[in-house]
Amino acid sequence: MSNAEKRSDTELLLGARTSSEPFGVFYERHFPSVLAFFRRRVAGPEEAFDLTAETFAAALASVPRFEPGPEPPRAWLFAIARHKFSEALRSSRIQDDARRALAMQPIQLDDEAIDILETTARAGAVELLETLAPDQRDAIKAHHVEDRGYAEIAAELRCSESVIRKRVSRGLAALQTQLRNGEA
Amino acid sequence: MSDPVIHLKQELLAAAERQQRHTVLAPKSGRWWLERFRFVPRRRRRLVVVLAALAVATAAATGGWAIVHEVVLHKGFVGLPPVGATPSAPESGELVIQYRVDTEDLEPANGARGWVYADGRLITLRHKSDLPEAANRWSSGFLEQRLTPEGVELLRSEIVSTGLFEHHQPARFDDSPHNVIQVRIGDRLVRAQASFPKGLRERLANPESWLPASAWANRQIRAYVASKYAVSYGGQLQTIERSRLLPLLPIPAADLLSAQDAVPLRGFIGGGGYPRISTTSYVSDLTTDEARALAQALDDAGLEEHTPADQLAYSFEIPGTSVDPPLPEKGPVRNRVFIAFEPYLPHGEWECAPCG
Repeated sequence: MSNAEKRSDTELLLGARTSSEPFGVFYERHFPSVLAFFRRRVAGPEEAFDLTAETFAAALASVPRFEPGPEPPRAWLFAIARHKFSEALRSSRIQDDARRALAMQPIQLDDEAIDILETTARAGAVELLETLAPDQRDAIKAHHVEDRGYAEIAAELRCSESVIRKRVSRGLAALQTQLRNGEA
Repeated sequence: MSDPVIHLKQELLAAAERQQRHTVLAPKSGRWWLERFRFVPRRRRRLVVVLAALAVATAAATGGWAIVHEVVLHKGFVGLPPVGATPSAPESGELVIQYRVDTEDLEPANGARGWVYADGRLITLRHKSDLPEAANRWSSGFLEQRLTPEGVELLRSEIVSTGLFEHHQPARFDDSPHNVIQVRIGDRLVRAQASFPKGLRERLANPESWLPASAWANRQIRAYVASKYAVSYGGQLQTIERSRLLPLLPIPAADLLSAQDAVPLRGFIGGGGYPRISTTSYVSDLTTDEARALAQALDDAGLEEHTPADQLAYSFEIPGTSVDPPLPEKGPVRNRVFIAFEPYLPHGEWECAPCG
């Protein structure tokens, strides 16, 4: 792990004022979840990628103005993503202002690239699950991903079935809140 | 098709480099300036007046007091200075020391070049520097600091104590083409090219790390802003006569250059085991405003920036040409025209920043 990879998001964004590398690490760290955020909201992977690219370009352009505050930088990034999404809804098209201002070249996507994006977006969604408390995450994975019954999970974890139901229900509610707030 | 995730990252990193290259970092209180000077297309950028990183000095003027506004850039830059930046003063200076040293034996790109003047000015160009004032990760841009007379003498004695400059001996040549130091002894500059001790090379590359406080009249780094620029232009890889070259340029650029005197400059491309190709390019001296007008004409014509990390330079292919490059396995390529800008230094010479 490089030094930059060990740095916090705040350190990366402050470092990005004078060096490009920290922004690259910040991008790699958050690309999957931003892509997943858009993938859940728009029809196709191309549109999701376009909005993700625009979000990171706008974030890069805002790096000189970034000030650490009580909100984590991830929230700052998703505020930009939500803004880009509303902008796209309002104008019925995805803007490329931030990329044009930075003189970035357009990126064409072929089938192979779309496959890569779909896989990355799924990883971003799984990442969301990892943000839950371990007992809620394990219960959701066991019930919804592995398709096991409440009784079986309860027996394995040596607790009552109602405890498992509560963990699943609370975990899903937490996920729903995160999705609604657009921070994942 | 490349991985779009990696492709986007590359685009963002390149944009970040451009953004940093064109962002003038003001010291502490000048943060608002950052927002104003974020990356904007070069066409507009050249018209932006530098208002930040501003040091206002009051000076006595003949017949009364006058306010002198000095616009100081606290971060290096590559290419032409922002409009309004105050040139280094005085325009000319007597060279006392000049050095070009590598800090890593196998890595000639890591190192520094420096020029020390009798008036105390220390101008440096550092490669792969981690200085916060560096223009970008590859090049610091030309930077300026001020030494006291004691500081100049300390630097001079540090060099002379190597014994390589005794008896006004002529240049020594060995296998260290990248390590060259000239130092004024009496009324002449004595030049030595040698494997200088690594400690000396490192001290010259980072004078802030060892020179005492008394050596500095102003230790704070500022960008060196030249009063005039050398513009070199020519064919690459094949020489093109100036009379045939000018008509290939965008008309405003050709008009501007044809009105200037031009000195032929002979050089070569290649080396390192590959055949050398001799070339002749042409150099014209331009004021900063003329240099800006030329760059604007090249921008307007949509010409490609050639070596943006350490030099403002443009190039374009000449259709229908075919020349063999020094690496013949790559096959023939089209001949190109290049136009490069370099600042003049106070001793009246210019330095090719990317040249090895």
